[in-house]
Amino acid sequence: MDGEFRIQLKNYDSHKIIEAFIEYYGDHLDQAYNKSAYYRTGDVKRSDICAGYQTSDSLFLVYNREGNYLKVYVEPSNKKDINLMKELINRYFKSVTQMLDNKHIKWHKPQATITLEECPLPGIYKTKKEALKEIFEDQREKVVFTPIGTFLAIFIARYLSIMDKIDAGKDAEKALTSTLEALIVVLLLIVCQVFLVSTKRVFTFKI
Amino acid sequence: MIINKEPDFLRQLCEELASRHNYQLEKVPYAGDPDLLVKNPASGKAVAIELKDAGAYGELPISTILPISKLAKQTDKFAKVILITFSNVPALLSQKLAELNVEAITRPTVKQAAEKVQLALSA
Repeated sequence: MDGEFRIQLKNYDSHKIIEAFIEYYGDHLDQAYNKSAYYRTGDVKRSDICAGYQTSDSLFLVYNREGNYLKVYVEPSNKKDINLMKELINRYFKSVTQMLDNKHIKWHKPQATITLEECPLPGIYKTKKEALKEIFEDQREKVVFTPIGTFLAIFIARYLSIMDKIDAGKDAEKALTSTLEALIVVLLLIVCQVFLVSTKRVFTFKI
Repeated sequence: MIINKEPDFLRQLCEELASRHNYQLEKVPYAGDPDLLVKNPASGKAVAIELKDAGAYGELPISTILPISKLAKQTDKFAKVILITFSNVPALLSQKLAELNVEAITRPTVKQAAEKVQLALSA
């Protein structure tokens, strides 16, 4: 089991990236590489990697530039702990993106994957825009369609004289209250999920 | 949602190979072995087929080279490894696969994949 995350950079300056990694993580590429599965197998050479770091529970290696993507390989010491793997991906993603922010390097479109035996496990990263869109799509029925349908039904019932004025008024009041409730729920969701949760730099892995 | 195309493709490829050739097909369910082993009983030659899909990530992670390399080193069991993928193959991985003499086919049709197998077995 291992993982990879990639981040697209607006302007990829290889020298600046290597300098930033050395400044933030120290010059530990050789130690990290020598501990990796790549060193043991010889499949990916030291020259294919431009930065690296290791801790007691894991290591990460940064591949040489490929297009505008910064790709980071993450290898845990314990290859059977999926929760550790998820935590490592998010730990290094958060740390690397904070480094990029501090160096004023613009990044976007983060993606992650964990290779679990033979099955890939993609991580989902939601931007504020995507989180807003999801809330709107989830709540669209309650906030838009249900009130429109209710008011339309009351209007038709009144037009066909099926419902008297008092009942129609009561139903309209109920529909208005329900719509206001739904709107408050949407506002709370926006505050919680968009402004609080999405500021956390995390991938969500569904398994 | 992750859509796993591999089992379906593998089944169709087996059907295609079985209908056209007199090959021996062996599906291997164990990790570390190829997904499909195709043997030509006439020549004794065998080709290993490995299917990989990166799902929503869109491209195979470079570490895909680790299990593929293990396979490619089993030269006593088969002459060649064919990697069939439904995702993009990054340049570094592509280069590493070429070094191992692994042929990577991206998003092939079942017919195209069967032709590659036939070609590898006849070479």
